[in-house]
Amino acid sequence: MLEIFQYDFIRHAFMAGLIIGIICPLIGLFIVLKRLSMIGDALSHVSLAGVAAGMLLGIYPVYGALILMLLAGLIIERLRNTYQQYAELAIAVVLSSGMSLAVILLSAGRSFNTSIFTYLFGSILTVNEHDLFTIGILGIIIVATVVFLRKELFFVTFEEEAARLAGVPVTLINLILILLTACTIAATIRIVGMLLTSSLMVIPVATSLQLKKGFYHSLIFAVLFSLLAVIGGLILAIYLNLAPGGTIVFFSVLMLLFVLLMRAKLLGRPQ
Amino acid sequence: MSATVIKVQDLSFGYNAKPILNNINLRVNAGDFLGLIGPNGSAKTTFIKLILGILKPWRGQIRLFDQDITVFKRWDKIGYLAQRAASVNIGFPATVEEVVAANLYRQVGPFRAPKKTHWSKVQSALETVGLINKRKCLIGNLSGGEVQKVFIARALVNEPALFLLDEPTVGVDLKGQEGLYELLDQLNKQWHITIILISHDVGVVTARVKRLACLNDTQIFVFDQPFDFLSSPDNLAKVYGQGMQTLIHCHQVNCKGRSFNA
Repeated sequence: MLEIFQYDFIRHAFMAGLIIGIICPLIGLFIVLKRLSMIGDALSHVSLAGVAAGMLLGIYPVYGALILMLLAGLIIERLRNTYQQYAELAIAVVLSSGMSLAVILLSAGRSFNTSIFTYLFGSILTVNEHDLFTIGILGIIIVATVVFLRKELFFVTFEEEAARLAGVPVTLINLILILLTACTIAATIRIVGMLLTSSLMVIPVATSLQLKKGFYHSLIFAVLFSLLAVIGGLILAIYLNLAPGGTIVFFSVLMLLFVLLMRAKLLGRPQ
Repeated sequence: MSATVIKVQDLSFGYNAKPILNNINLRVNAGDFLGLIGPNGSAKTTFIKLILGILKPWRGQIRLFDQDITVFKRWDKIGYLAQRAASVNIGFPATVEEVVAANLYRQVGPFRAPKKTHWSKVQSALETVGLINKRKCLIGNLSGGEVQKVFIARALVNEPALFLLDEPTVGVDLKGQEGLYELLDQLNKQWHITIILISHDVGVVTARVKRLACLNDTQIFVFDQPFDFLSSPDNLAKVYGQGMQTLIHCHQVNCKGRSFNA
């Protein structure tokens, strides 16, 4: 089995996979607990527009996706404050806008070809050193920020008003969280694809929450589940020649089902 | 004479150009236990949020610990239990001690992890509310009364001199309510914490507090002897309207040596 690692593209894919396996649930736990699970979906739809713009303008598509998603993140945060009672409206508006822009740019650039499919469903073959470098830098930024701001992110996610009274800069922390979400998706779309990126942010977290542990333990378990899904999914994708996005998310769904069944068996009913 | 903890002078505030507080004056001294009552929409929570600096007054002045609120920095001296705090996402995967420790943010400082001294403060706050044995429990596994106690411990962890509670007994059963009121008594009498308690339970609050303030129709009425409020139907009518003359809870309460039906 280890012979597959003699190929550069496999090594690149696994290294990139391990990084996204860590960062997706790391950010995912905060957005799930803030009841903003759909934000990953909205931003990944925007990322497609960024990829299309990158292809059209001849710049590295991941940079195009990142720039557009950072902009969309700022817009979501602004709209969330405008529609405080309907925070999910901001997400729906940005998701639709992103998708419409993507369709326009793709049709304008006649880009409905195989290269766009690698961004939609992920790919192992196409992860090059440039991708790995970008994913690595984004990974370091995300992990370092979460480690430094873990107290602030925890408090703001748990209860914004109390956090504000305790002196936490809530608006800034919310903004940082959305920008980190954008960075996470930018790092993930090469491997998992934009259609399933948000799943990797949400499903390992859903599995971890079933274990009913404290906050930091939940974070560690979510990362472990995610890493298992990435490793299992990549191996399956390599041997069966499938798109890795599907296999990775399929593995994470299997783990969720397993944990749900075990809990049901232990407790007599699902929690 | 006790030091002044809160001094509100000629305070006015409203929403959408409609005033809901008009020329309010109130002084709260150190060691006070003030009950704040009034019908729904009488701006009780708004008044507390003005004192906490969450809302900015239209006119008037608020002084906290002899400092104008605009320059006041020692917010760690003020504990706050928000309305319906128990309805916070209790499915959140946080242990009791993680929730309480979060409120030490100012003391721990940005980017730093809590030290041993901070954890001992968490332990001491949980001992005070009687939840030390549940410090490793998930907050979602506690009863409504216990969750309120966790939030009280979260406020106490900073050793506040003033504690504001907004309807802490909502969703808590009678036994839990009794425990909460006893805890507040202890905090006021033994720890000398100044308390402002918002509640709709007029009978119980009147029996527990040292002073009573009633908000209604943009005005505030303060009673230095809480039972004076209940003993006069005119007072009830003034605060709750003509339609309500007496409030009957069918239990006898003792207040400062005097006994009456509340």
